[in-house]
Amino acid sequence: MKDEDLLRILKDSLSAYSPVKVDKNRIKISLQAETLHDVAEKIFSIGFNYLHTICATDYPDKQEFELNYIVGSMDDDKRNNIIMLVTRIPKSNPSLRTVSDVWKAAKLEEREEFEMLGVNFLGNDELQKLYLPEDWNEIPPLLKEYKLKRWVDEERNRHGLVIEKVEHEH
Amino acid sequence: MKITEFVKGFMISVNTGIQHLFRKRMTTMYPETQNYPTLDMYAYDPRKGIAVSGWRGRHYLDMTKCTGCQLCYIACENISEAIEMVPLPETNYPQNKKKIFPAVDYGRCVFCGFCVDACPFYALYMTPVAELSEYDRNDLYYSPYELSKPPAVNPTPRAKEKIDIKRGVYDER
Amino acid sequence: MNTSTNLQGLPGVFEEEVSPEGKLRVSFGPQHPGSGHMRIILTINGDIVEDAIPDVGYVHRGVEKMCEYKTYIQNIPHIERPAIHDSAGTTLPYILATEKLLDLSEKVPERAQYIRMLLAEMNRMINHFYFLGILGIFMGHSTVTTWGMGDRELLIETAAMMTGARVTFSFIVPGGVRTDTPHGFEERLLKSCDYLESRVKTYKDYLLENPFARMRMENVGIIKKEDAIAFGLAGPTLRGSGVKSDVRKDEPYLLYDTVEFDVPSYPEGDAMARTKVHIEEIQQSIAIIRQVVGKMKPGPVKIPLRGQIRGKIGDAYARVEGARGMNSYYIISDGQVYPYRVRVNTADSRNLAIMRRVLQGVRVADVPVVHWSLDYWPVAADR
Ligand code: SF4
Ligand code: SF4
Repeated sequence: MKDEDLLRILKDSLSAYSPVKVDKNRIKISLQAETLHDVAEKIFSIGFNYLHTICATDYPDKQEFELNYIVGSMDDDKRNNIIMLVTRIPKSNPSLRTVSDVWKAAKLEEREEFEMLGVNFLGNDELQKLYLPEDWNEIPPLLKEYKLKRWVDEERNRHGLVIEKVEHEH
Repeated sequence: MKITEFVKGFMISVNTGIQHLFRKRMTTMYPETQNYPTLDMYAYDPRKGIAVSGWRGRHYLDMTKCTGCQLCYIACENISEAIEMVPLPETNYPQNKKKIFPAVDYGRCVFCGFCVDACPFYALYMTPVAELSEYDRNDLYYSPYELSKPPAVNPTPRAKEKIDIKRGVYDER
Repeated sequence: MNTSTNLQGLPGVFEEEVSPEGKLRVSFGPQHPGSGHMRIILTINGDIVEDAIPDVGYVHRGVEKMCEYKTYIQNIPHIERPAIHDSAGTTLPYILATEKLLDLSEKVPERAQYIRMLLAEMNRMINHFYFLGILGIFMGHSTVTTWGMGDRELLIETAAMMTGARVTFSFIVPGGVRTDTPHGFEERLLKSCDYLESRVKTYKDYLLENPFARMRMENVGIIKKEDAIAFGLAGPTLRGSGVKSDVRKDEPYLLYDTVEFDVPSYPEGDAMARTKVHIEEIQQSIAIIRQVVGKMKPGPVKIPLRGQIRGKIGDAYARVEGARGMNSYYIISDGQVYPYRVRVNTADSRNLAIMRRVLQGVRVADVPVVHWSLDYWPVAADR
């Protein structure tokens, strides 16, 4: 479906949220966290039934998380369209309602974002560790406060290796 | 599954198996034959910004061209930290005033070749030598002198590969 | 029957045990050669799997975090490592998203796009032959194993001629590809394609007609169409459930809109349907390669990028059809040399979502077949 047609449909059903076209086949809807579930149900009902991914991003200077819900469709005429729902939640209370009752695929994605950033999805009953080791007790690793240690240890200085001079053929 | 279907499918697959009795063996007898897809060196032309394809094996360092600019080191820094700049005060190359040269630790290198792409002075290449196994981990550390040895030309001839629809893929001896 | 997608729910220490009702709880993997780098905790009643909890994360390496500490170029070797079967299909969405951030998408030379397509299709075939090979092991059909590995070798060596590496190509870079095709590459590629096309028929005869292979694969691990969409499955798993979806057709990237090919799909949704999709896709890839080689004209293959590249402030989302399904990257850039956030979304991690549900009710001997036919590769899923 052409972006313009989709925008028209979206403007009819979601007039309060001002969808904008950001790129070819990409439509972005910025909204409040409280309304996210309603909008998710609405775009599901117009055919966006295939969740691609959920991406949470940490913005430490604003003390906010940004959440991107990237949704596609398996309806024959909307396969090329992608809608991104963008919302921001404060880091002091990082919780919002789950969308796993709308898209089943969201359960796993939400679980991963919970593990990696500590975003709490209310209503998702599986928010446990997934990829991190069981004994991981540091802060969630994708927060910007979590700094990578230099993975090169100091003793890398060649285990006391001596470089021998060899015959040079030039 | 009907019995006729079963028998028919069984015959078809047994027939396919029998046909394969008459095909040549696909296995390459390593190390007698070494089936390198290419024997060219991977090189980068900084003027054109395009590389020349070749096998990305161990590096070759041209010490007469290396200026010690450390760009290869910077390129590798976040990839695998395999390159280290080592001072070689005994060398005397006019273009290399700082007397530092790259050394590569093949215990870390992932053979991506982005160090070659970073070198602006045609000093670094990658050779088709990929058999680098050693008994001691420290032997995987190649000093600039070892890197600047020209790669040994592969003594065994490259297998002549035949791709034949009837007889399969095999090496012609 | 428990239908949630809960994956873990594990006690801290896992013990094999027999419940009073005679149900046995065993661990399938992580040392089992069939499970890959993961384990499945099976609850078995007699010969029937009552519950199967995938326990993943053994090979999680934090690619998303690492990407925030590296430049756009330095990320390339790292993001392709998780998916060694399909390194072109994994790097391609990253490169396409990066090019959007660099405003390069329109400028990439035509020949570079065609070379990317060649590499992507070769990689798809490499992955599919690998799929057939391992499927053979899991069914106890070791002939197909050696065939799959051998036929894959032909393409790997052809790819290595051009890229210089066997599996981790690091070949596609922002602005084009790293090298032009070497002398004799197209010729060898077409020859390999002719050979492999004759092999496709052999695989069909030997694997799809073989009554024993059919007994192992038909009607096991059935995924319904609605489930496949709702759980967000991707690739051959989705198409094996009757959804005719392929990113190459849905949202053509590179120059896929200039070539003709079919999207195979089968409505049955069982392991057999997924295997058929793989075999048909090999044939379609061969057709694409032939068309692309015919269309390629000499020309530049790369826009040289000078100095350190910086993405513009903003975000980009790109998706491609990798060998195992839709791979997509979402990159947020704040104008620095490092990306601000990279979200990696691989087909494998999506196919994981349904594993618990699809393994319930199958026989123990069918677990490896169903597990492998889902196109789930732990390393790419854990990222
Ligand atoms: S090939 Fe890659 S990993 Fe090896 S030294 Fe060069 S940049 Fe480092
Ligand atoms: S090899 Fe090239 S990049 Fe590395 S220090 Fe020498 S001149 Fe510089």
